Amino acid sequence: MMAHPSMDLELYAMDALPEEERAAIDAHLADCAACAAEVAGLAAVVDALPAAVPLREPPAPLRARVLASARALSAPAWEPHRRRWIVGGSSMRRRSWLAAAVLGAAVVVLGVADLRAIDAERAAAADRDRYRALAERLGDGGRSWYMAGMDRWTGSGGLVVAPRTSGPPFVVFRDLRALASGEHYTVWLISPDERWVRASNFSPDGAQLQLVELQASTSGFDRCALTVERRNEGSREGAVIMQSRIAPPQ
Amino acid sequence: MTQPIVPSDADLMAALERRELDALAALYDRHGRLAYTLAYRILGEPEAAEDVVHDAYIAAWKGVAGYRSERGSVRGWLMSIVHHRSIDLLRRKTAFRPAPLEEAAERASEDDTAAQAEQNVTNAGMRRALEQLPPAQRKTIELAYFGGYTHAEMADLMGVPLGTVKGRMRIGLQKLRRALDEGSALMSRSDVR
Repeated sequence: MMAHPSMDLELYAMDALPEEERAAIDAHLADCAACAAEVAGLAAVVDALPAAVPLREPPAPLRARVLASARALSAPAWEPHRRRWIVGGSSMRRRSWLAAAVLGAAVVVLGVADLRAIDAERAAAADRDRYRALAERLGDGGRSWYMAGMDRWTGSGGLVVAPRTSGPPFVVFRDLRALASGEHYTVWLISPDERWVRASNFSPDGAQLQLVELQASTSGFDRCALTVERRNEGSREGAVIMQSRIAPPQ
Repeated sequence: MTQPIVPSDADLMAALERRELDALAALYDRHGRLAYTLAYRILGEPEAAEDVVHDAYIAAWKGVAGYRSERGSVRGWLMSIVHHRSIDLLRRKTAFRPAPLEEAAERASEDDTAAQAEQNVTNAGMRRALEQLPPAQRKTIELAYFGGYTHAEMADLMGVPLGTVKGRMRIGLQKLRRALDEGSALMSRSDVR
Protein backbone atom coordinates (compact mmCIF):
# COMPACT_ATOMS: atom_id res chain seq x y z
CA MET A 1 0.00 0.00 0.00
CA MET A 2 1.30 3.49 -0.81
CA ALA A 3 2.22 5.83 2.05
CA HIS A 4 -0.62 8.03 3.33
CA PRO A 5 -1.07 10.70 0.62
CA SER A 6 -1.82 13.36 3.23
CA MET A 7 -0.79 16.29 1.06
CA ASP A 8 -2.95 15.16 -1.82
CA LEU A 9 -6.24 14.34 -0.12
CA GLU A 10 -7.54 17.91 -0.43
CA LEU A 11 -6.74 17.94 -4.15
CA TYR A 12 -8.39 14.54 -4.45
CA ALA A 13 -11.55 15.80 -2.73
CA MET A 14 -11.56 18.79 -5.06
CA ASP A 15 -11.12 16.57 -8.12
CA ALA A 16 -7.99 18.53 -8.99
CA LEU A 17 -5.68 15.58 -9.58
CA PRO A 18 -4.86 14.06 -12.95
CA GLU A 19 -6.47 10.70 -13.59
CA GLU A 20 -3.38 8.61 -12.82
CA GLU A 21 -2.81 10.15 -9.38
CA ARG A 22 -6.51 9.98 -8.65
CA ALA A 23 -6.59 6.27 -9.42
CA ALA A 24 -3.64 5.66 -7.06
CA ILE A 25 -5.48 7.40 -4.21
CA ASP A 26 -8.67 5.51 -5.03
CA ALA A 27 -6.74 2.29 -4.53
CA HIS A 28 -5.24 3.56 -1.27
CA LEU A 29 -8.61 4.62 0.12
CA ALA A 30 -10.02 1.17 -0.43
CA ASP A 31 -7.57 -0.13 2.20
CA CYS A 32 -7.08 2.85 4.50
CA ALA A 33 -9.96 3.75 6.78
CA ALA A 34 -8.16 6.77 8.24
CA CYS A 35 -7.62 8.42 4.85
CA ALA A 36 -11.13 7.47 3.73
CA ALA A 37 -12.57 9.19 6.80
CA GLU A 38 -10.44 12.26 6.09
CA VAL A 39 -11.72 12.39 2.51
CA ALA A 40 -15.32 12.04 3.72
CA GLY A 41 -14.81 15.06 5.97
CA LEU A 42 -13.29 17.05 3.13
CA ALA A 43 -16.10 16.02 0.81
CA ALA A 44 -18.57 17.68 3.15
CA VAL A 45 -16.62 20.92 2.77
CA VAL A 46 -16.56 20.55 -1.02
CA ASP A 47 -20.31 19.86 -1.01
CA ALA A 48 -20.82 23.16 0.82
CA LEU A 49 -18.78 25.21 -1.66
CA PRO A 50 -21.69 25.98 -4.03
CA ALA A 51 -23.25 27.80 -1.08
CA ALA A 52 -20.42 30.34 -1.24
CA VAL A 53 -21.89 31.79 -4.43
CA PRO A 54 -24.78 34.29 -4.21
CA LEU A 55 -27.92 32.53 -5.37
CA ARG A 56 -29.07 33.15 -8.92
CA GLU A 57 -32.64 32.50 -10.02
CA PRO A 58 -32.92 29.94 -12.85
CA PRO A 59 -35.11 30.81 -15.85
CA ALA A 60 -38.74 30.06 -14.98
CA PRO A 61 -39.35 27.67 -17.92
CA LEU A 62 -36.48 25.40 -16.85
CA ARG A 63 -38.68 23.64 -14.30
CA ALA A 64 -41.26 22.72 -16.93
CA ARG A 65 -38.51 21.58 -19.26
CA VAL A 66 -37.04 19.24 -16.66
CA LEU A 67 -40.44 17.77 -15.84
CA ALA A 68 -41.39 17.41 -19.50
CA SER A 69 -38.21 15.47 -20.20
CA ALA A 70 -38.71 13.24 -17.17
CA ARG A 71 -42.31 12.64 -18.17
CA ALA A 72 -41.23 11.75 -21.68
CA LEU A 73 -38.76 9.23 -20.29
CA SER A 74 -41.51 7.70 -18.20
CA ALA A 75 -44.07 7.46 -20.99
CA PRO A 76 -45.28 3.92 -21.57
CA ALA A 77 -43.55 2.14 -24.41
CA TRP A 78 -45.78 1.22 -27.31
CA GLU A 79 -45.43 -2.04 -29.16
CA PRO A 80 -44.27 -1.67 -32.74
CA HIS A 81 -46.84 -2.63 -35.29
CA ARG A 82 -46.71 -3.68 -38.89
CA ARG A 83 -49.74 -1.89 -40.19
CA ARG A 84 -49.35 1.42 -41.91
CA TRP A 85 -51.23 4.42 -40.75
CA ILE A 86 -52.54 6.82 -43.31
CA VAL A 87 -52.86 10.57 -42.96
CA GLY A 88 -54.55 11.90 -46.06
CA GLY A 89 -52.22 11.37 -48.99
CA SER A 90 -49.19 10.69 -46.77
CA SER A 91 -48.31 7.49 -45.06
CA MET A 92 -45.98 6.92 -42.18
CA ARG A 93 -44.59 3.84 -40.54
CA ARG A 94 -46.03 3.27 -37.11
CA ARG A 95 -42.60 3.08 -35.57
CA SER A 96 -42.30 6.85 -35.93
CA TRP A 97 -42.86 8.83 -32.77
CA LEU A 98 -46.17 10.37 -33.66
CA ALA A 99 -47.64 7.30 -35.24
CA ALA A 100 -46.75 5.27 -32.18
CA ALA A 101 -48.37 7.75 -29.85
CA VAL A 102 -51.46 8.43 -31.90
CA LEU A 103 -52.05 4.83 -32.81
CA GLY A 104 -51.83 3.88 -29.18
CA ALA A 105 -54.55 6.37 -28.45
CA ALA A 106 -56.58 5.30 -31.46
CA VAL A 107 -56.50 1.76 -30.20
CA VAL A 108 -57.75 2.93 -26.83
CA VAL A 109 -60.58 4.75 -28.58
CA LEU A 110 -61.55 1.70 -30.56
CA GLY A 111 -61.22 -0.64 -27.65
CA VAL A 112 -58.75 -2.89 -29.44
CA ALA A 113 -56.53 -4.68 -26.98
CA ASP A 114 -53.56 -5.72 -29.04
CA LEU A 115 -51.19 -3.21 -27.48
CA ARG A 116 -49.50 -3.26 -24.13
CA ALA A 117 -51.79 -2.18 -21.31
CA ILE A 118 -51.50 1.45 -20.39
CA ASP A 119 -49.97 2.20 -17.06
CA ALA A 120 -52.49 3.65 -14.66
CA GLU A 121 -50.25 6.44 -13.46
CA ARG A 122 -51.72 9.87 -13.65
CA ALA A 123 -49.12 11.16 -16.04
CA ALA A 124 -49.80 8.34 -18.45
CA ALA A 125 -53.53 8.98 -18.20
CA ALA A 126 -53.00 12.61 -19.06
CA ASP A 127 -50.85 11.60 -22.02
CA ARG A 128 -53.50 9.12 -23.13
CA ASP A 129 -56.17 11.81 -23.14
CA ARG A 130 -53.86 14.06 -25.08
CA TYR A 131 -53.12 11.36 -27.63
CA ARG A 132 -56.81 10.53 -27.91
CA ALA A 133 -57.54 14.13 -28.82
CA LEU A 134 -54.72 14.03 -31.33
CA ALA A 135 -55.98 10.80 -32.82
CA GLU A 136 -59.42 12.26 -33.26
CA ARG A 137 -58.01 15.31 -35.00
CA LEU A 138 -55.68 13.27 -37.18
CA GLY A 139 -58.38 10.73 -37.90
CA ASP A 140 -60.09 13.28 -40.08
CA GLY A 141 -57.38 12.68 -42.66
CA GLY A 142 -55.76 15.29 -44.82
CA ARG A 143 -52.22 16.01 -45.85
CA SER A 144 -49.20 16.27 -43.61
CA TRP A 145 -45.58 17.35 -43.73
CA TYR A 146 -42.83 16.87 -41.18
CA MET A 147 -40.47 19.57 -39.90
CA ALA A 148 -37.26 18.55 -38.12
CA GLY A 149 -35.68 20.80 -35.48
CA MET A 150 -32.28 22.31 -36.16
CA ASP A 151 -29.36 23.37 -33.98
CA ARG A 152 -30.45 23.48 -30.33
CA TRP A 153 -33.80 22.05 -31.41
CA THR A 154 -32.29 18.90 -32.86
CA GLY A 155 -34.52 16.13 -31.55
CA SER A 156 -37.65 18.27 -31.69
CA GLY A 157 -40.05 18.17 -34.59
CA GLY A 158 -43.46 19.12 -35.86
CA LEU A 159 -46.05 17.54 -38.11
CA VAL A 160 -47.98 20.12 -40.13
CA VAL A 161 -51.47 18.86 -40.91
CA ALA A 162 -53.99 20.31 -43.36
CA PRO A 163 -57.26 18.47 -42.57
CA ARG A 164 -59.12 16.94 -45.46
CA THR A 165 -62.49 18.07 -44.21
CA SER A 166 -63.35 21.06 -42.06
CA GLY A 167 -61.27 22.76 -39.41
CA PRO A 168 -58.13 24.84 -39.43
CA PRO A 169 -54.70 23.42 -40.18
CA PHE A 170 -52.59 22.55 -37.17
CA VAL A 171 -49.14 21.41 -36.16
CA VAL A 172 -48.36 18.64 -33.70
CA PHE A 173 -45.02 19.48 -32.11
CA ARG A 174 -42.96 17.08 -30.09
CA ASP A 175 -40.30 17.74 -27.45
CA LEU A 176 -40.30 21.49 -27.77
CA ARG A 177 -37.73 23.21 -25.59
CA ALA A 178 -38.84 25.59 -22.89
CA LEU A 179 -38.10 29.23 -23.65
CA ALA A 180 -36.70 32.15 -21.72
CA SER A 181 -39.08 34.62 -20.13
CA GLY A 182 -40.65 36.95 -22.72
CA GLU A 183 -40.11 34.55 -25.61
CA HIS A 184 -42.64 32.47 -27.49
CA TYR A 185 -42.77 30.28 -30.55
CA THR A 186 -44.27 31.54 -33.81
CA VAL A 187 -45.45 29.36 -36.69
CA TRP A 188 -45.08 31.02 -40.09
CA LEU A 189 -46.61 30.19 -43.44
CA ILE A 190 -44.46 31.34 -46.32
CA SER A 191 -45.65 32.02 -49.86
CA PRO A 192 -43.59 31.39 -53.02
CA ASP A 193 -42.97 35.14 -53.26
CA GLU A 194 -41.42 35.14 -49.75
CA ARG A 195 -44.36 36.61 -47.89
CA TRP A 196 -44.19 35.47 -44.24
CA VAL A 197 -47.56 35.21 -42.53
CA ARG A 198 -47.73 34.74 -38.79
CA ALA A 199 -50.02 31.71 -38.33
CA SER A 200 -49.75 31.22 -34.56
CA ASN A 201 -47.94 32.46 -31.46
CA PHE A 202 -47.73 30.01 -28.60
CA SER A 203 -45.76 28.96 -25.54
CA PRO A 204 -44.63 25.38 -24.93
CA ASP A 205 -46.83 23.63 -22.39
CA GLY A 206 -44.13 21.23 -21.22
CA ALA A 207 -45.85 18.16 -22.63
CA GLN A 208 -44.13 15.79 -24.99
CA LEU A 209 -46.69 16.46 -27.72
CA GLN A 210 -48.40 19.78 -28.25
CA LEU A 211 -51.08 20.58 -30.81
CA VAL A 212 -51.11 24.13 -32.15
CA GLU A 213 -53.87 25.36 -34.43
CA LEU A 214 -52.95 27.77 -37.19
CA GLN A 215 -54.90 30.95 -37.79
CA ALA A 216 -54.50 30.82 -41.56
CA SER A 217 -55.14 28.27 -44.29
CA THR A 218 -52.13 26.60 -45.86
CA SER A 219 -53.58 27.34 -49.28
CA GLY A 220 -51.30 29.64 -51.25
CA PHE A 221 -48.23 28.83 -49.15
CA ASP A 222 -45.43 26.44 -50.01
CA ARG A 223 -43.43 26.44 -46.75
CA CYS A 224 -44.03 26.37 -43.02
CA ALA A 225 -41.46 27.43 -40.41
CA LEU A 226 -41.06 27.82 -36.67
CA THR A 227 -39.11 30.62 -34.98
CA VAL A 228 -38.64 32.01 -31.48
CA GLU A 229 -39.94 35.56 -31.19
CA ARG A 230 -40.40 38.23 -28.56
CA ARG A 231 -43.13 40.22 -30.31
CA ASN A 232 -46.63 38.95 -31.00
CA GLU A 233 -46.96 40.77 -34.29
CA GLY A 234 -44.89 42.27 -37.04
CA SER A 235 -42.26 40.70 -39.24
CA ARG A 236 -40.01 37.80 -38.30
CA GLU A 237 -37.02 38.54 -36.08
CA GLY A 238 -35.99 35.11 -34.79
CA ALA A 239 -33.91 32.51 -36.59
CA VAL A 240 -35.70 29.56 -38.20
CA ILE A 241 -35.45 26.52 -35.95
CA MET A 242 -37.48 24.12 -38.08
CA GLN A 243 -39.17 24.32 -41.46
CA SER A 244 -40.68 22.20 -44.17
CA ARG A 245 -41.96 22.52 -47.69
CA ILE A 246 -45.71 22.07 -47.80
CA ALA A 247 -47.99 21.49 -50.76
CA PRO A 248 -47.57 24.01 -53.54
CA PRO A 249 -50.59 26.24 -54.18
CA GLN A 250 -53.47 24.41 -55.82
CA MET B 1 -52.99 25.42 13.41
CA THR B 2 -50.87 22.44 12.41
CA GLN B 3 -48.06 23.00 9.97
CA PRO B 4 -48.08 20.96 6.75
CA ILE B 5 -45.56 18.12 6.81
CA VAL B 6 -42.65 18.89 4.54
CA PRO B 7 -41.14 15.74 3.08
CA SER B 8 -37.44 15.26 3.70
CA ASP B 9 -34.99 14.81 0.86
CA ALA B 10 -34.86 11.12 1.78
CA ASP B 11 -38.66 10.93 1.39
CA LEU B 12 -38.39 12.59 -1.99
CA MET B 13 -35.68 10.19 -3.13
CA ALA B 14 -37.88 7.25 -2.15
CA ALA B 15 -40.72 8.78 -4.16
CA LEU B 16 -38.33 9.36 -7.04
CA GLU B 17 -37.56 5.66 -7.08
CA ARG B 18 -41.30 5.08 -7.43
CA ARG B 19 -41.15 7.35 -10.51
CA GLU B 20 -43.26 10.09 -8.93
CA LEU B 21 -42.83 13.26 -10.93
CA ASP B 22 -44.04 15.38 -8.02
CA ALA B 23 -40.94 14.32 -6.12
CA LEU B 24 -38.70 15.48 -8.93
CA ALA B 25 -40.58 18.78 -8.98
CA ALA B 26 -40.10 19.15 -5.23
CA LEU B 27 -36.38 18.40 -5.51
CA TYR B 28 -36.13 20.99 -8.25
CA ASP B 29 -37.99 23.55 -6.15
CA ARG B 30 -35.71 22.82 -3.21
CA HIS B 31 -32.30 22.65 -4.90
CA GLY B 32 -32.79 23.98 -8.42
CA ARG B 33 -31.67 27.49 -7.55
CA LEU B 34 -28.42 26.27 -6.06
CA ALA B 35 -27.87 23.91 -8.99
CA TYR B 36 -28.36 26.72 -11.48
CA THR B 37 -26.19 29.06 -9.40
CA LEU B 38 -23.36 26.54 -9.41
CA ALA B 39 -23.61 25.77 -13.12
CA TYR B 40 -23.77 29.46 -13.99
CA ARG B 41 -20.82 30.25 -11.73
CA ILE B 42 -18.72 27.64 -13.50
CA LEU B 43 -19.86 28.21 -17.07
CA GLY B 44 -20.74 31.89 -17.06
CA GLU B 45 -23.43 31.36 -19.70
CA PRO B 46 -27.14 31.14 -18.88
CA GLU B 47 -28.02 28.78 -21.71
CA ALA B 48 -25.21 26.37 -20.93
CA ALA B 49 -26.08 26.50 -17.24
CA GLU B 50 -29.70 25.77 -18.04
CA ASP B 51 -28.74 22.77 -20.16
CA VAL B 52 -26.47 21.39 -17.45
CA VAL B 53 -29.14 21.69 -14.75
CA HIS B 54 -31.70 20.07 -17.03
CA ASP B 55 -29.35 17.20 -17.83
CA ALA B 56 -28.34 16.81 -14.18
CA TYR B 57 -31.93 16.48 -12.99
CA ILE B 58 -32.70 14.01 -15.75
CA ALA B 59 -29.58 12.06 -14.78
CA ALA B 60 -30.89 12.04 -11.21
CA TRP B 61 -34.32 10.89 -12.43
CA LYS B 62 -32.75 8.05 -14.36
CA GLY B 63 -30.02 7.22 -11.86
CA VAL B 64 -31.79 7.57 -8.54
CA ALA B 65 -30.86 3.98 -7.70
CA GLY B 66 -27.21 5.02 -7.73
CA TYR B 67 -27.64 7.39 -4.79
CA ARG B 68 -26.16 6.15 -1.50
CA SER B 69 -27.25 8.08 1.56
CA GLU B 70 -24.19 6.93 3.52
CA ARG B 71 -21.97 8.79 1.06
CA GLY B 72 -23.58 12.17 1.55
CA SER B 73 -26.67 14.30 1.35
CA VAL B 74 -29.11 14.42 -1.55
CA ARG B 75 -28.16 18.04 -2.07
CA GLY B 76 -24.48 17.12 -2.21
CA TRP B 77 -25.25 14.34 -4.67
CA LEU B 78 -27.21 16.64 -6.94
CA MET B 79 -24.56 19.34 -6.76
CA SER B 80 -21.80 16.85 -7.56
CA ILE B 81 -23.70 15.85 -10.72
CA VAL B 82 -24.08 19.50 -11.70
CA HIS B 83 -20.44 20.19 -10.85
CA HIS B 84 -19.05 17.28 -12.84
CA ARG B 85 -21.17 18.06 -15.87
CA SER B 86 -20.27 21.74 -15.74
CA ILE B 87 -16.56 21.05 -15.42
CA ASP B 88 -16.69 18.48 -18.23
CA LEU B 89 -18.32 21.07 -20.45
CA LEU B 90 -15.84 23.71 -19.39
CA ARG B 91 -12.83 21.50 -20.09
CA ARG B 92 -14.10 20.80 -23.59
CA LYS B 93 -13.88 24.48 -24.37
CA THR B 94 -10.65 25.69 -25.85
CA ALA B 95 -10.44 28.92 -23.88
CA PHE B 96 -11.68 29.70 -20.44
CA ARG B 97 -11.52 32.73 -18.21
CA PRO B 98 -12.83 32.31 -14.70
CA ALA B 99 -15.99 34.32 -14.25
CA PRO B 100 -15.74 37.02 -11.58
CA LEU B 101 -17.55 36.43 -8.35
CA GLU B 102 -20.96 38.01 -8.56
CA GLU B 103 -22.32 40.48 -6.10
CA ALA B 104 -25.96 39.49 -6.49
CA ALA B 105 -27.87 39.63 -3.28
CA GLU B 106 -29.28 36.44 -1.93
CA ARG B 107 -33.04 36.32 -2.02
CA ALA B 108 -35.24 34.07 0.00
CA SER B 109 -38.36 32.91 -1.78
CA GLU B 110 -41.70 33.20 -0.09
CA ASP B 111 -42.08 29.46 0.27
CA ASP B 112 -38.80 29.00 2.09
CA THR B 113 -39.14 26.33 4.69
CA ALA B 114 -37.35 26.19 8.02
CA ALA B 115 -34.85 23.84 6.40
CA GLN B 116 -34.29 26.38 3.65
CA ALA B 117 -33.82 29.14 6.19
CA GLU B 118 -31.21 27.01 7.94
CA GLN B 119 -29.57 26.40 4.60
CA ASN B 120 -29.44 30.13 3.95
CA VAL B 121 -27.57 30.59 7.22
CA THR B 122 -25.11 27.89 6.17
CA ASN B 123 -24.73 29.53 2.76
CA ALA B 124 -23.92 32.88 4.32
CA GLY B 125 -21.43 31.24 6.69
CA MET B 126 -19.64 29.43 3.89
CA ARG B 127 -19.47 32.59 1.83
CA ARG B 128 -17.99 34.52 4.73
CA ALA B 129 -15.50 31.77 5.44
CA LEU B 130 -14.32 31.73 1.84
CA GLU B 131 -14.07 35.52 1.75
CA GLN B 132 -11.97 35.53 4.89
CA LEU B 133 -9.33 33.22 3.45
CA PRO B 134 -6.06 34.80 2.35
CA PRO B 135 -6.38 35.65 -1.37
CA ALA B 136 -3.91 32.99 -2.51
CA GLN B 137 -5.76 30.19 -0.68
CA ARG B 138 -9.10 31.43 -1.86
CA LYS B 139 -7.93 31.67 -5.45
CA THR B 140 -6.52 28.14 -5.32
CA ILE B 141 -9.83 26.74 -4.11
CA GLU B 142 -11.85 28.75 -6.64
CA LEU B 143 -9.66 27.77 -9.55
CA ALA B 144 -9.95 24.10 -8.66
CA TYR B 145 -13.65 23.98 -7.85
CA PHE B 146 -15.19 26.60 -10.10
CA GLY B 147 -12.55 26.52 -12.82
CA GLY B 148 -11.84 22.80 -13.04
CA TYR B 149 -8.07 23.27 -13.01
CA THR B 150 -5.73 20.49 -11.97
CA HIS B 151 -2.93 21.15 -9.50
CA ALA B 152 -0.32 21.35 -12.27
CA GLU B 153 -2.43 23.81 -14.26
CA MET B 154 -2.91 25.96 -11.17
CA ALA B 155 0.83 25.97 -10.46
CA ASP B 156 1.44 27.05 -14.01
CA LEU B 157 -1.28 29.69 -13.93
CA MET B 158 -0.17 31.21 -10.64
CA GLY B 159 3.56 30.76 -11.29
CA VAL B 160 4.23 28.83 -8.09
CA PRO B 161 5.66 25.37 -7.36
CA LEU B 162 3.31 22.41 -7.16
CA GLY B 163 4.02 22.04 -3.45
CA THR B 164 2.78 25.58 -2.87
CA VAL B 165 -0.50 24.78 -4.58
CA LYS B 166 -0.90 21.69 -2.42
CA GLY B 167 -0.13 23.66 0.74
CA ARG B 168 -2.55 26.45 -0.09
CA MET B 169 -5.28 23.99 -0.91
CA ARG B 170 -4.68 22.00 2.24
CA ILE B 171 -4.68 24.97 4.62
CA GLY B 172 -7.58 26.70 2.86
CA LEU B 173 -9.84 23.66 2.90
CA GLN B 174 -9.01 22.89 6.52
CA LYS B 175 -10.01 26.42 7.49
CA LEU B 176 -13.30 26.05 5.62
CA ARG B 177 -13.85 22.74 7.34
CA ARG B 178 -13.41 24.31 10.76
CA ALA B 179 -15.76 27.15 9.80
CA LEU B 180 -18.35 24.63 8.63
CA ASP B 181 -18.01 22.59 11.84
CA GLU B 182 -18.32 25.71 13.98
CA GLY B 183 -21.37 26.81 12.02
CA SER B 184 -23.01 23.43 12.55
CA ALA B 185 -22.20 23.54 16.26
CA LEU B 186 -23.64 27.03 16.51
CA MET B 187 -26.79 25.88 14.76
CA SER B 188 -27.10 22.94 17.18
CA ARG B 189 -26.73 25.20 20.21
CA SER B 190 -29.41 27.58 18.92
CA ASP B 191 -31.69 24.60 18.36
CA VAL B 192 -31.28 23.57 22.01
CA ARG B 193 -32.26 26.99 23.34
